[in-house]
Amino acid sequence: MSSIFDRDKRYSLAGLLTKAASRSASWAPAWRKGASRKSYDVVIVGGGGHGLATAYYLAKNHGVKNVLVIEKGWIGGGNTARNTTIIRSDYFLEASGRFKEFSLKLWEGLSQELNFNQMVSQRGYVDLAHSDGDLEMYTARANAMRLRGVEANVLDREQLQKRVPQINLENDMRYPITGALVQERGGTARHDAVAWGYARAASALGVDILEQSEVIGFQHNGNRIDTVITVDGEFQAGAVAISAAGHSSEVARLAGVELPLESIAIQAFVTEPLKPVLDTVVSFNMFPFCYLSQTDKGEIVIGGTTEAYNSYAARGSFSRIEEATARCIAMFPFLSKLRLMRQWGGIIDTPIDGNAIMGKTPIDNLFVNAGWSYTGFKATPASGWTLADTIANDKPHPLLAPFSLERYKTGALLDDAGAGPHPYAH
Amino acid sequence: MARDRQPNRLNNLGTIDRTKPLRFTFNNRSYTGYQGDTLASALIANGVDLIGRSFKYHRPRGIFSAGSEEPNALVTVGQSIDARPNLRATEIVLENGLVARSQNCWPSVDWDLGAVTGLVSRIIGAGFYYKTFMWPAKAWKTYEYFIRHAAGLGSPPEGHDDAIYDHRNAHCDILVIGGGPAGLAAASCAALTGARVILCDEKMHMGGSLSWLRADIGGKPAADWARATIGELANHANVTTLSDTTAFAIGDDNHVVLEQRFGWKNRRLWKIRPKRIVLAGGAIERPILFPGNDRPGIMLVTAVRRYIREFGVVPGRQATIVTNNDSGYDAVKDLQDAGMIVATVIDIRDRCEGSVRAKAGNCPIYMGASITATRGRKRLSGINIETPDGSNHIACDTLCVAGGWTPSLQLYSQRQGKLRFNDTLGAHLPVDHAEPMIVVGAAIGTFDLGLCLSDGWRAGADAATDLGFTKPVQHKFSVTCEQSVDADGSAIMPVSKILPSKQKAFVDLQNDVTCADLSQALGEGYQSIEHVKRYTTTGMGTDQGKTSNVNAIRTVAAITGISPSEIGHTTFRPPYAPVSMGAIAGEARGKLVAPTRRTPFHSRCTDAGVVFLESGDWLYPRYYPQPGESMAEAIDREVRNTRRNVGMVDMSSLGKIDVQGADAIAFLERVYCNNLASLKVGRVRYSLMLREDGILFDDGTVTRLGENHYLITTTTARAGEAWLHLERYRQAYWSDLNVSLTSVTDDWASIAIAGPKARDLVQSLTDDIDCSANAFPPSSMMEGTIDDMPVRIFRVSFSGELGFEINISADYASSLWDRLVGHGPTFDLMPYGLEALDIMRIEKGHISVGTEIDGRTTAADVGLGRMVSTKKEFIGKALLQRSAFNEPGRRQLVGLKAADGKSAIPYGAQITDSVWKGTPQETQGHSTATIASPTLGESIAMALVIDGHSRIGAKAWAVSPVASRSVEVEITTPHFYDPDGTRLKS
Repeated sequence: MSSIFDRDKRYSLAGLLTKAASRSASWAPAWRKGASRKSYDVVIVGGGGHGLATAYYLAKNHGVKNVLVIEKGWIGGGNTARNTTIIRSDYFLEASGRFKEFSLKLWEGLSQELNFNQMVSQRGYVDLAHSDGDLEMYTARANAMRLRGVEANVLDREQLQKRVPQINLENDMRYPITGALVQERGGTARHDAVAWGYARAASALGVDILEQSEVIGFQHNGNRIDTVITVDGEFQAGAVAISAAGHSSEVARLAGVELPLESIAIQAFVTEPLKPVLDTVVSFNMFPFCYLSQTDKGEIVIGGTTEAYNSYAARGSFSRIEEATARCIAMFPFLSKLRLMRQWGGIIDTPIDGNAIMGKTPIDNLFVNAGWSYTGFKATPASGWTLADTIANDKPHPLLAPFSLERYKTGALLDDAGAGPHPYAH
Repeated sequence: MARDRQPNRLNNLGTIDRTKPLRFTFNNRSYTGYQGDTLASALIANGVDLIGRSFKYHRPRGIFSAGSEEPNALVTVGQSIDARPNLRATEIVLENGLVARSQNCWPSVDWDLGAVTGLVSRIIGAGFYYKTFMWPAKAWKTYEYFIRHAAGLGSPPEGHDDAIYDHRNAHCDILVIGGGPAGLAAASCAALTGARVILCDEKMHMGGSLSWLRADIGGKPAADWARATIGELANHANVTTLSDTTAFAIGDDNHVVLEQRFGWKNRRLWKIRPKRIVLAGGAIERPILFPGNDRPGIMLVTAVRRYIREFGVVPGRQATIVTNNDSGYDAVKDLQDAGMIVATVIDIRDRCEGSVRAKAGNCPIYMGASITATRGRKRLSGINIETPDGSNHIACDTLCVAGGWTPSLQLYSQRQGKLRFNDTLGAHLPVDHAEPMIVVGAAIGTFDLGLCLSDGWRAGADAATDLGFTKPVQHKFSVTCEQSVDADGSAIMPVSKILPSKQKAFVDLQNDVTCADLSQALGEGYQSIEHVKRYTTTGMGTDQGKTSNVNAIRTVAAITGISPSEIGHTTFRPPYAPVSMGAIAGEARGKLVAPTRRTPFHSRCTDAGVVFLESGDWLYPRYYPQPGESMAEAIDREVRNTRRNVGMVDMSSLGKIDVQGADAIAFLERVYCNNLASLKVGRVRYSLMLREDGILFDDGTVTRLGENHYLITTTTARAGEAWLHLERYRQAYWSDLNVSLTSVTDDWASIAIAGPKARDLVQSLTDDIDCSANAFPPSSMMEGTIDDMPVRIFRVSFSGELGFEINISADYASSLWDRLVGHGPTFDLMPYGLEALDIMRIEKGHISVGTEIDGRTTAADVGLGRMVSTKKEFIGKALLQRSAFNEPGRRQLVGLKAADGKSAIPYGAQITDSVWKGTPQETQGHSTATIASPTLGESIAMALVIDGHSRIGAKAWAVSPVASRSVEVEITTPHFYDPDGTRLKS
């Protein structure tokens, strides 16, 4: 049970009842706004889930409470707000798998840890295979997960039909489905709650959160950054972490660091809400991919594939929506009778091996957490935890170490998709 | 029982066809409406007040509007597998036999148990679910089960969809969105210039407000003028008019997507690239917020007027009008003419011009009044008001709400047009109404009919002349209209009168978001309008806030004291209104989701009884079962026969690229990592392409056909990618090279003949090619003929047997197949499929894309390091020098055999140092391909094992926890069969 909140501020059913009974009582603001100081031990650029989680774990795990999170817009408004909320750890490569599994474990206790319901809904993640070859590789992946102590199963068509009764396995579809890899502990979480929950808890521990403020430069002192310059003034910084998703490379450039990232738009969309019909997350794996799940509100949320060009415009082509829709209907023919309610786009930052870049940079006190491509949301708690540890100890956390920026120099790539040096292909 | 009587139907007004009655069913009761009705107007005609229940509190709700902004009247239409949820009654064109029902209620819309949530509404305010359901931690799943069942709107549809969907692509000069006065004028003008015009409107009849407005244009009633104008437009060959068609998305470069509806099921999606867009989408009336503002009988005033004048129905008997602008008074006459009693006009403003007030006639007016409560459970029965002179109760069954106008600028905003809040209008307007599209009419806050027409005309003229069309003559519209043109919608009821009330004041009717919810969210620090939206869910319903977004912004402004322009607005995203998923997919369903490629031998393989495998783009011949044979038996037989006699396999799906030019070899030397400079004419070389990062990309052959002429092959899987890769380098980086690439994959049929008798078979087919070992050595190519058909024959082999690959013009594929089959019996020829080929390549230790070329391995990792040139420059060379590529710890290609010589190696195994005991263990690698080898009579596998090359001969375990199996294996070289290549070279 979290003890970082005063009794009056702690969320609980009793609290709701008390507040409802009294006309005057109301909940305190979830987080304090603005910078109260001019000098911070750590300044984090980017108030999304990752940045806020880093701030929270710095304060919680390492007692580093003199922390400022700077957000250009409103917290959680970037990719935290735009993803399809999937959590899972079914990765083939050891470094990716172990990191995501650590994250999934943190997700499992996060509502209680933050005293903010994250709606962690472990309804299973079903990764579809479209050939016998796919199924053989998925089996190898499931076995890799089992060796790590992570539950995973491979389903044949019959088992899949039982697991996802609504799925169409008739032979009338293109890219026939031959089976699936299932991680039952996978699922979804409530994306907005992640940003708000970390912000509220970090704030309670003393972290400052400055919104609507853009970082426009850094002042160096030797091989260190000593000042972060924002549109709202300057802040002294003992250490700086960049956690700005699709704009990380731009912010890093301000600090004089080139990150091997490309920024690409990706789209997602939701149908109108309906009563429960789909009780798991399903991913269709023939390019262009799509993945779908039903939210607690009842919408079917569908994620698509990146555009094949780089852009900072958070919108994409209609053809990507057509492709994803056609694939979803192939899997679930009833979806044809629903209506698309809202589409949106986000910018993902992808390095050439499609995996994250975390940890130290060529500048002594500058840390980075970027390059999350499709997989940033699920990694939120673990990247916050391990980056906080890395900053506090000035030494890479063991789980984070393989994701170093250095690996592009050494060639120790982490290419789960095997898609190679073209970010759009991951 | 059918009811023919329509109690609320007028005898005179409306454009419905009273000679064409239509029967329909709502909530299992049969009713009658008329041709020209929407489901909503027909339900009103029949006196049906209660249409649905709200999302959260299950409050009784009726029809609120007459268009796509409808938040309340969502219904499920159709029966059993035809059913579609969440359709708006206000948009459904009535047809005979239509079946509709209420949703989100149980057991019925009249008696809905879900309404108990209203009793605890103080506990379950905004964001309550973030604060509870956390204990005990494990119980969330249970809480969630109930939350999920309580949420959602309609029931999920079931089964396949038999509706008709198609797509049309179109180009036009000018797209006019909105067929109201401004849009009709714009389209009429543009049409005269000869420009290609498409005019669309989301309603089933074009005309917009002309359909119900009391006005004359050119001496004709407005509705008649609209009909005549639409008729004229339809006669222009250069004009396409699309009614019941919603322009719902605009992308970059004016890519506009429209949904055209044919009844409630069938849809056509239009993808249009207009050169210019005139947006005349009109404006949506805004509700006024007051306590208890959601009861059935409370409606937008223009909706009431439209129902009366366009559909000839009256939504009630005794009405009260509440307004914040002059237009509210215009309604009095419409209502009275329809036989309604207008009890009062409540004006929340302090003042109003006498001339406007005069429109109310004898009807009492309360100025500066506010509504403090409403009465009536399933239908409004009265309201409480507070006036400067005291409180009052007014009995009424209908409350018409006029809260000003919100211009429909979603599409303008989607196209990156910037919006600014206008304090007078109380809503947003374009910063520049000429860019990125011309916005006219009510969409830019113009409410004067004459101005809408003349501005529309000018917009059509401007768009056309901008494109070089001749300017049309000026057109003067003579308009008489007593309609108010006042754009002032600034007055709102003070939040101090709303928040303390016991009754809820709903900002978002569909999602049940109240003023109190907004206030609570702001108090908890959710102050950005995006945070307010997400925390309260305001504007997140299926109407996407058409009637609620501006009120939410203004309420936030009123509570915080921050101006609406500083608050900004949330992002408008496509679609403008919900659009059918079936329409978006169009004909891309079933097998048509993507094209299927068939090889030139397809029909002959079919005749031979093949079983095809659909994989990626292609239909491959998988195996050729003989009667009574299982798949495994057939594959086994095909392998044995190929190894013993001769087999033939269709290789046509391999990518083939013809490379020519003086710099052809310079180009190929750069894209392949192995030496090619020494390749002589008529010779073939197995070659590797690397990615820029030094990782293996693709393998295939390079054949030198002539001095500056080469043919290269790629794998089937990478054919498209390889083509893009090569063309990118040729065009973007090495444009100085004199080389041209031509994809010839589809031009050549390719069939591999493999086996000890391959030479004899091929020789029997051709007279002009000497197939003898000396004349036709391995890795060479000969050109000649088979029965006068030109062929290229390559001595290459994937199976490891003596092999000849015949390439022939795709048109001759069947002839070649027939010759082979004709000669076959002498040599015991059998066709074999992809499965047998795969088994033979694994026995031989040949690598394949997706398994060993997995996007992580280098040439050295798969044992082909010696092929990589150290002398020349090539793609991937620089990054191949990186330290991690040359350090221990890499996964390297090896073979695996069961240590006991008989156990089956598990499929998809991980390689470990010890048997799987169920506890976490370090992996040492993974198997990439596992087979039961018919040739060796044992289980073998290829595997990528950490430092595998130095572990040949060592023991390890192949474990598959998912199959609960562990088999001890010996690590071997991957070349299980004929490692010296004696057979291949024979």
